[in-house]
Amino acid sequence: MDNATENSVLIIGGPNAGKTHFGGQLYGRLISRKFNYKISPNNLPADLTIFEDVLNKLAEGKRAGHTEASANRNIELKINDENADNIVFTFPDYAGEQVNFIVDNRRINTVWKQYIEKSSSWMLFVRLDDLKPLEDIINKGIPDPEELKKRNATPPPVKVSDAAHFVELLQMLLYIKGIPSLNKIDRPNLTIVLSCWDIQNFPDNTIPFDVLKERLPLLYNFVKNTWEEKSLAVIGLSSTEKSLTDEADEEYIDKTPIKFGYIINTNGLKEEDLTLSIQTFIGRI
Amino acid sequence: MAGKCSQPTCFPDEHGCNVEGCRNLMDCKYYDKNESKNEVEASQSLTQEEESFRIPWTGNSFGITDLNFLAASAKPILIGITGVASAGKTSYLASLYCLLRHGRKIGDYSFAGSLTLNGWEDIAWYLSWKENGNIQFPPHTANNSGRVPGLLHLALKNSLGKKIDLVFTDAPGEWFDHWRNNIYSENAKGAKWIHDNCDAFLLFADCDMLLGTKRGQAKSQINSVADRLFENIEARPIGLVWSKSDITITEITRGQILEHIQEKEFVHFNQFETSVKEGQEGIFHQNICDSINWIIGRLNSNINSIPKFNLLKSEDMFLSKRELNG
Repeated sequence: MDNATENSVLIIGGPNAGKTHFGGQLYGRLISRKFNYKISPNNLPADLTIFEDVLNKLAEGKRAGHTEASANRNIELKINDENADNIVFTFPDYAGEQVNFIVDNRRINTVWKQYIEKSSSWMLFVRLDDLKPLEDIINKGIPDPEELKKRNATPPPVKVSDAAHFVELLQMLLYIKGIPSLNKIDRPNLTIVLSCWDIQNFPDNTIPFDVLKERLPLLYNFVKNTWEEKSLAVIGLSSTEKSLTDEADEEYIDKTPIKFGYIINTNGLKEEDLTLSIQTFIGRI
Repeated sequence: MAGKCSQPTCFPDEHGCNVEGCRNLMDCKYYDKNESKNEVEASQSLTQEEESFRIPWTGNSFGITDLNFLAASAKPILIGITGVASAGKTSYLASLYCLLRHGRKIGDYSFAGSLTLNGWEDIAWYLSWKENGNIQFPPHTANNSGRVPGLLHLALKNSLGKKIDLVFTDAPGEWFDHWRNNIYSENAKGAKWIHDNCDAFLLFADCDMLLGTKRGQAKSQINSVADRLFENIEARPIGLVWSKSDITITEITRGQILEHIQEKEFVHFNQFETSVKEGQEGIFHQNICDSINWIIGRLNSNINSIPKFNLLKSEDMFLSKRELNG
């Protein structure tokens, strides 16, 4: 494919961050050919093992299982948009624990090194309801004895804050890719995906970038200072639109999964066409 | 001899091979294979580990060798946090990090990364609410009579995209106690290193101690550390931090310490009232950020202006070529 733009998107997300559901829902829309980006009819991926479980589960209205820890496979999707521009979109599949392993053990294996080196765009999944709120002397002051009594068995201690975890992860990935930090970064472009947007009950037109600033200000400042404005985006995502369980959801089965799920684009607008997120990921907007 | 490597600047078990660039440490001629043999045999994940890549920072506080990685790209600004034991030095650093973690800016500068995030998080943990909602103040910084303090790194960028690297010393107060008595004392080497190498200083005066029964001793300790610090201070900025300022000290005590300092020769001096408590309208927290911003501003003012010269000398081959290239 001579005129194809090679866009290798590296999806970065810890356990439970929503990578698998996103992959399934994105593929479902791409293959339906009803949305902006489509899979080229003559270029169907030969091996769909990666999406097998999630597609089957979603079709039955159930949530997908956890990706096995040792899995390291990837799938290349050859897709085109309305202008028939070709894009090769690589979708790696791995268990989210591998991402935590990188930060906790401070080492990167060969497989990940290849992912990082080959990638031209990064998508960092941040699951909003998994973030532990910061409670320290800045926002909470010094607790009074009443409050001390109240919380004897509530949230676990903050050891390393979520913001520090994500900053360290990005710093490590940039180091392995050999990107200097003096000037702002153009490539790889970074999209931060705030997943499970639906359960946050944000008012309409909430701008995802503002949510990042409010919830993870340290990460917000880091990415704003590190990436070029045009190479950085924050979007909201709800892959399944509602929480699925191991019990079948009848509405899902009847309407089909591609009728569910949305993204909140950088301007805070809701879009049902998940494939439009591809523009953001590859830095075309 | 650093760990299992015979080379003094290499810590292969933390950072990977720094000298030869070996992917497999067992191939390295400097690596002590005998010492690590038993461990390696016990490890099942060797093949995976062999094939993995390390990064040259651990996230913990820097030691002096770790500075090489940072200082290779640009000279970091070293800020000496000085004062006797339990004057609130570590609490000040922890509060600074907590402020940044909440998105606060230092003047026009904001957070742009850190190579010692674990080190920062460790000290900030004491000022974070625990499961029982408890806050403890950071315990005493251990005096393991080292010669170099724990160093905490912070990268900041301003709105123009200019990057600066700050490195703060987190040293036990005892070092300064030994140092004010005898700069050649074995236990004062760390404090002397700070005085010799830092670009700017913050001297901590503990308001709690300055109000209590030991205020006489506290005054003399602060004055004598100040005496040492102001020696050869030249144009290096020095800030006096009134820590625990939620406690009000008498104007007489304050005046005595300031008077002692005003007698000295210096170029840049300022004072800041800080506390882990935010104070009215957050003034004590704001002062933490302002103290760093003041240092950055003073250091910038120390830089000579770039000499002007005529670029249009057509007879000078070098300069005329430069002009052609725009």
